[in-house]
Amino acid sequence: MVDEKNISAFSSFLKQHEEGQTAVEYIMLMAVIVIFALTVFRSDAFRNILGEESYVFDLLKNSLEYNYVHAGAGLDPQDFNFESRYQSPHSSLINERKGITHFYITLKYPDSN
Amino acid sequence: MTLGFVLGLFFLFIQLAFNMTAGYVVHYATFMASRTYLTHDNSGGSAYQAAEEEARSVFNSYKLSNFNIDNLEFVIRSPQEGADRYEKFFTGAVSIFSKSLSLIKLIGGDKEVNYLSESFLGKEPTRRSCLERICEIIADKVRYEQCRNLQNGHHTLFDNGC
Repeated sequence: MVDEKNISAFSSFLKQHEEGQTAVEYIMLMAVIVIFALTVFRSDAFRNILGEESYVFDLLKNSLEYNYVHAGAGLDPQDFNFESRYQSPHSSLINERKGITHFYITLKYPDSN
Repeated sequence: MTLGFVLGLFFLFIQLAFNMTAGYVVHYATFMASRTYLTHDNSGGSAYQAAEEEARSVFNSYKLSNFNIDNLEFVIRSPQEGADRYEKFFTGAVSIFSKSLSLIKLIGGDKEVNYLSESFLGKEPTRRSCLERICEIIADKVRYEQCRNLQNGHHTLFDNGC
């Protein structure tokens, strides 16, 4: 049987020694944060968007490479092999989507008479 | 975590700014090399080789290593390259280098961006070639007739002969 006197003494002991409570709460809070962070960083959704193999940075990479060569917006992956690169239409010169070149000629100047 | 993410994005844009700065300098150096290749003339038999060496020295004079560009490759495409006429259009200077996308691995740091700079100004014929063509057209009446009928467009008596 539990002695009521002992319970009362233990309860008063706990009330008199609360110095470690803040530290324990802090450690538990940090543990929750670390678990949350690891869960987020290791999730497929995070890896797809912002991780080391994210498609967002793939798009940014393709965009930078295209813009640097052609001075215009685009996302098409570039061919960096010099043997094959200049055998196919060059996006700086030909607009494949519209099927036209970026060059133009002026119309014949009309006769004066 | 939030601080790390914000710092990651901050350094991402810082790195992009440095890469763009280096990229513009490389564009300029490539253009100047292409311009040198276009006009250089030693009037000798190895005109393409001499022009390439001169263009390469112009490109190297820009001290691009100061912009932390180590893996820079510079190529001259001469009119002799390429099997068909379409490829010969791409005569000039090409340079390529790569830089990491970001300083922090977590925010796009493992990706290498390849920066390709092109300048295709072409290559002028040498004065010697022009002289030879003029002599040929003056001396050869048959070819003169061809030229007059616009069947051979390489012979033009104009300015320096080209």
